Amino acid sequence: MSAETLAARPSPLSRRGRLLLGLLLAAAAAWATLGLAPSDALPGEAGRGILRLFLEGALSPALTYEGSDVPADAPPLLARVAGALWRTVVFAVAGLSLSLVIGVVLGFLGARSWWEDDERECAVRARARAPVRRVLAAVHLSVRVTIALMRSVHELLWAVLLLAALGLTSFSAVIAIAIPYGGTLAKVFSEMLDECPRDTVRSLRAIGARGVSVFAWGLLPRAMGDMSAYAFYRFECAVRSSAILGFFGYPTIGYYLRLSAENVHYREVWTYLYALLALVGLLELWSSRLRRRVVMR
Amino acid sequence: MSERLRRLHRARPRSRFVRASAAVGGLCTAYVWCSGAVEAGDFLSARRRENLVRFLTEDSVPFPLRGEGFDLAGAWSWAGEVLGGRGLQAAVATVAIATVAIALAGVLSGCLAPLAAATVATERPVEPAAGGGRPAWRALRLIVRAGMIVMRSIPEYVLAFLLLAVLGPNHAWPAVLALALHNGAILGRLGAEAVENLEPGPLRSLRGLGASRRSILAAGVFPLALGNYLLYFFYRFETCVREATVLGMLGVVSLGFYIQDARAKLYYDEMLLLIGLGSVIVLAADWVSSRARRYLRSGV
Amino acid sequence: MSSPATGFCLRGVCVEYGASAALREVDLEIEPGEVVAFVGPSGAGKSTALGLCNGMVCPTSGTVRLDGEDLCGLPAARLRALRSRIGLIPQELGLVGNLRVSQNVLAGRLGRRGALAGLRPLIHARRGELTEVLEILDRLGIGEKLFHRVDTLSGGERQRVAIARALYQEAGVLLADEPLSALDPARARETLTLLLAVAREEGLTLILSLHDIDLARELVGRLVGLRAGRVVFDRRREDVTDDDLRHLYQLEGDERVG
Repeated sequence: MSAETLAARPSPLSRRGRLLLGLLLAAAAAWATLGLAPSDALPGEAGRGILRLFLEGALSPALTYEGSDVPADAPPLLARVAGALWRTVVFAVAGLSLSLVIGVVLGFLGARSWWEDDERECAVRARARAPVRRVLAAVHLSVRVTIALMRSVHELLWAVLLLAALGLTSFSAVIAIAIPYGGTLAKVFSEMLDECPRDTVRSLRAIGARGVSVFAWGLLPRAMGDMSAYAFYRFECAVRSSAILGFFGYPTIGYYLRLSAENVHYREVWTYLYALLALVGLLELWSSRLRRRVVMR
Repeated sequence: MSERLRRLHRARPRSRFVRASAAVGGLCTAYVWCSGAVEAGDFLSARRRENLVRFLTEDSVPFPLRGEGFDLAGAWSWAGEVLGGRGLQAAVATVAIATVAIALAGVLSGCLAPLAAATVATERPVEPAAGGGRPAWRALRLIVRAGMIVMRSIPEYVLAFLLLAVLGPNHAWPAVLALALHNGAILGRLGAEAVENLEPGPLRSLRGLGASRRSILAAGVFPLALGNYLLYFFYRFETCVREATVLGMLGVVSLGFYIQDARAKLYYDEMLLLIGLGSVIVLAADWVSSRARRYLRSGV
Repeated sequence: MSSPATGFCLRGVCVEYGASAALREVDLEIEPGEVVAFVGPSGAGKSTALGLCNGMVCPTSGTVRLDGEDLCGLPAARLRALRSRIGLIPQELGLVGNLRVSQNVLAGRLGRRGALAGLRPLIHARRGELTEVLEILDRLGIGEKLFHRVDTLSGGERQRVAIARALYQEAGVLLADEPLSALDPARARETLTLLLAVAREEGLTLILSLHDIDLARELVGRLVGLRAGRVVFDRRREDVTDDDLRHLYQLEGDERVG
């Protein structure tokens, strides 16, 4: 039987079914590789004690320091929480604004809809444009590779790298956020630009508009709503990333959370957690309201 | 004419909320960069520059290649040792953690999504008046949704850190559970949206045939919502691999563990090599998940 | 200031997409200021014929001349200059939903602006430009919508915005691809009458594709019947016979015989 007749035969499983089956097998294999014992997923004797302490903390988050070993010059706990929260936001804002610049520039270069037009052009003109297109295609490809590389390293790993290269400075935290986020924004922006309906582009070309005008009038405004909604969503993520950067010594909320947890001050941990939750929840409310306004179809 | 232009301009529809948001965002950005909260200038100071130059020209160069003893063969065998030994083992563990976690997240979200969807979690599912329902149903939806918001608002890293304290460090469960809970909550929300956006027609006709809630779920809701749901699912798989790499830095044996280890020993060359390996795994996962999504889109 | 009307001359035009032919051996002469409608069943090549008139489609063989100038093989800059004199109302209108009506209309003159000068009206429109846009919108009866977002308008209003954009362009030719397809019968008649009136007042060449043959026969001066890429008839409306129409719309099976 040739490959074609094999492919044409109706398969007993749908594509979804095959994917799900494959996933199940992969998960079973992965489970075996890791040697996971179901009993280990539940806390042991010591773990249960910690868990109890931890859950009790949820009901009575600390308003003042739990321990007695507080340095004399330490600010009140709530002031510390507020400060940490503020610095978390500062890093997120700085990181995201930098990544927006990266994302817009690389997103534009990584999109092809502004130079690759689908008009059934006459052969003479197409030949004349061919060298320009080859250059643009090369730029496009190299930008896509750059974007993929930026994205493929987690922000914490960028932070680790930058800590080694620059030392502990707030700017390295900002760059650590800005690189992978810039890559992600660029990828999503370029996809949004490329997936825009083409009717406006065609109609603007048909009345003689240049490439730049077509992009600025026909593509950008259309994609703008989705792009700003997505950027805001990424801000939420940036706040979370900025929070965990604290685990590596930056003065964001993760730093204090880790300290408190290592001192087994779980009521303080909950104060930090609640503060983070409130911030993220607030941003989520804001972003869903904004999305309703800007993404209109 | 110009009076009329002014009048029309004043009366133009616009959203105060969007404008206010843009203004707040702009002002915050300007403040953050101008107030000195981010030490951008310090970046150029002599000390940082020195540090950077040392990192690039010495620390990050594979150690057999440093100084006079430029030993290319040694560098090869060193890289092979690092990547082939713990690198390979940790890479496999990383992918395995992500796979188990995403499978568990799938199961979890499959349970949560119908409970959070207003069209299903009500006393008369999929009927036109659905959406309100008795207070008990409303409370159920509210609790499930709130739980999901909390789970996805806590970063996986923090979750894994806390689970590590409870479950102990000698196995992969803290990482697996942290990823499964976080992603289960995200997928649960997306799944609930997929369920709510289903065409009501086919489901109502099932209901009209007298099907129970359970059989509506099994015969109607799950098969119909699966397509859109799976697209999100494979998208999250990629994210899971990325996160699984990093969670190792807390002490679970994934790539991050050895990255952290190399970092603590100041073996920056090894650290760079392992980060590169992590990047390759993530790119591979990215490729797999985009292939899976294309495979799904191109047919049923 | 209105540009002089423009005439077209199609000689032996064939258009092939891959293996299938969209137009075969079309010869057509359109005088400046004339009003012509392409009619025929869907897939007959009406949109392709319109696309030939602004160079969005290039003929596989034959020539398309606009006032004596061959549209194919022109350098990009010259083609842009020609296109800036040809207004287009595409079937899907080509408006940007989340821009305001004023901005969508201002886009009409993009063909005549440089790369950077084209960006300015998007951000800041001059008073004079807005006055001009408002005058056009008033003529079309939607002046009050000047600063509304296009995606908040009704289908008929959007249609008028597209017409306004073409008028603001100050073109000599107006191409309209199925301008009535999204409208109910009453609105369709109203819109077609409006288009014809506008073309008459401005002295424009107006070329339409229409699937509503009755309306075309009633209102449009000259009809060109297209079927399977060939011109079946080309007559003044009073000369179009019922026989012509039967031939135009007869079922595919009968065609194979001949």
